[in-house]
Amino acid sequence: MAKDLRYFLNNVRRDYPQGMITVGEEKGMLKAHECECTALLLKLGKMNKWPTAIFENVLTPSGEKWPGKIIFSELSSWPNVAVMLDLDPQKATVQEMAEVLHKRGQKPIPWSVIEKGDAPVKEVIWKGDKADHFRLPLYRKDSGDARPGWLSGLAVAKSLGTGRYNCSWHRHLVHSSKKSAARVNPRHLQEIMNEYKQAGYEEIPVAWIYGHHPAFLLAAAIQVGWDVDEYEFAGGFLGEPLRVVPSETLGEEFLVPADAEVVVEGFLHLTEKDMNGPWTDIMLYYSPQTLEPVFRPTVMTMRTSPIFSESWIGYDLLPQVSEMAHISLALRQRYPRVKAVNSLAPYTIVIQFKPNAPGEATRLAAYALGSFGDLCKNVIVVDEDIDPFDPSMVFYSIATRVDTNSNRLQIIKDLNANRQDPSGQGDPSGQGDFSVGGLIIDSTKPVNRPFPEMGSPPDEVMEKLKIQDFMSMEDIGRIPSGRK
Amino acid sequence: MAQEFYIVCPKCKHKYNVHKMIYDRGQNFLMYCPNCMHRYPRKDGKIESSNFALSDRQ
Repeated sequence: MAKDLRYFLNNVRRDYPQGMITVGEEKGMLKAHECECTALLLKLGKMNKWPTAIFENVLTPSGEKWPGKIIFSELSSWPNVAVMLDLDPQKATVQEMAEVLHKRGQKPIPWSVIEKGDAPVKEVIWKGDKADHFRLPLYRKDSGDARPGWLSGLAVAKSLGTGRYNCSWHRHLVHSSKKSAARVNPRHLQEIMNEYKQAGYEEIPVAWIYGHHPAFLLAAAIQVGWDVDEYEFAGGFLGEPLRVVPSETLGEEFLVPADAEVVVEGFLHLTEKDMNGPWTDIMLYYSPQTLEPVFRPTVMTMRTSPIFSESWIGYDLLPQVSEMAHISLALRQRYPRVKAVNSLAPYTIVIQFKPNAPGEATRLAAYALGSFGDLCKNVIVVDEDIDPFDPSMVFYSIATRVDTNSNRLQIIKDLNANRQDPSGQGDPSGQGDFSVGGLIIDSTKPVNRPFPEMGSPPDEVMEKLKIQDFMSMEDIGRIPSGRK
Repeated sequence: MAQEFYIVCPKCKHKYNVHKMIYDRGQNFLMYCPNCMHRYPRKDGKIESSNFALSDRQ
């Protein structure tokens, strides 16, 4: 079975069923475009429960029931990330997952083309008036998210010059059956748009993907080099070739993922714009309304009873895992001793690294600031004895190993800011200067100087005593995790 | 932070934030209310606040 969303969900059901919840059809119809699904998700979140959630009975703005299901937060928890990577969710550590991601990211796999008759995404085809945005399960997350509703999907575009496929995430505000405004940041998709504009085109073909194996979704969230074909990069993350099939709109000239749940083909205009926003993005603040390129759908194809993927941005792990994978790949090319990278908060990463010379950690941090563009402004370096995935230990490291009277803490001024950064200053439209300050915190132990060791019971005692010889796993299971 | 202003829709009185790039389109540029989806010229909406100097304040 090719790796797709259903393959992933089957594995979650088998290996980590507690990581998923389904709101059955019998519970009544929900309006995702009136925040009803995210309201339920937030209620779960306030109970500190973060499952992948499937909703079976969702109304679309057209008044019709969506002929399938919708899913939020495929990567809602680290055990789900383990399932995505074919690891044991009960045992795999985040460090191990990071290692697997790092290895897969280095081995792109060429895609494979299959026949239309074998492509699940071609089971149902909507053309003409049926290719209507309002027949899709548009959603809103928060009360101030603009109406009528949004789609947050993976956009596939193809370079005019090299033919490389580009995959990236974009939100778009749907305005009508045949028009939406898609947020495009000045990165690779914008470069492809510039290519087409310079060649005299008025629009570029784009296909939006809603629902696939989360490894493909994750690969699309990582900004790779301009020379990397992102279908091949996705194949590396999947561990197998991405299966693709000719699109309905352009045939073999534009291939789309064959195992997607839903593909919306169409054209992104190069000059026509419309309103996009407000919308709460990864920072959880309302991004202001801006003018963004108009998209018009031509054809929608899907599986029978498709599972439409929505994004509860700001609450699931996809951005954190993608940043972790991307920065690890970039840093280890130059610094192979980097053990792990964690995305602790928006624009803030923690690197686990033992420096061999004074200042080496600072150089590494400076390299990290440049490796992820405007998505990194704060870098904290911790030693090998500090878990970068444990915020309390990261703060412990800063509290006990950093003297801010020294250069262990450095303020970096005038970095180009990410458009979404509410602390940036200037013009975030992409047309003018928009800058922000950042931090480098070297909280590693000083090199070539004595520093106290952290205490723990002797290794031989830790090895000798097995906890299940003294306490029953049942008793241990009843103890709540954490201190709340 | 981003240069933005808060405007009130003349139809439903919903207040929302808009980027300066839209303000710079002029007072006759058609705004879009994210609540009631009403389109209206900027001059018809009430600007309540901004973090930049308004060039032609109503």
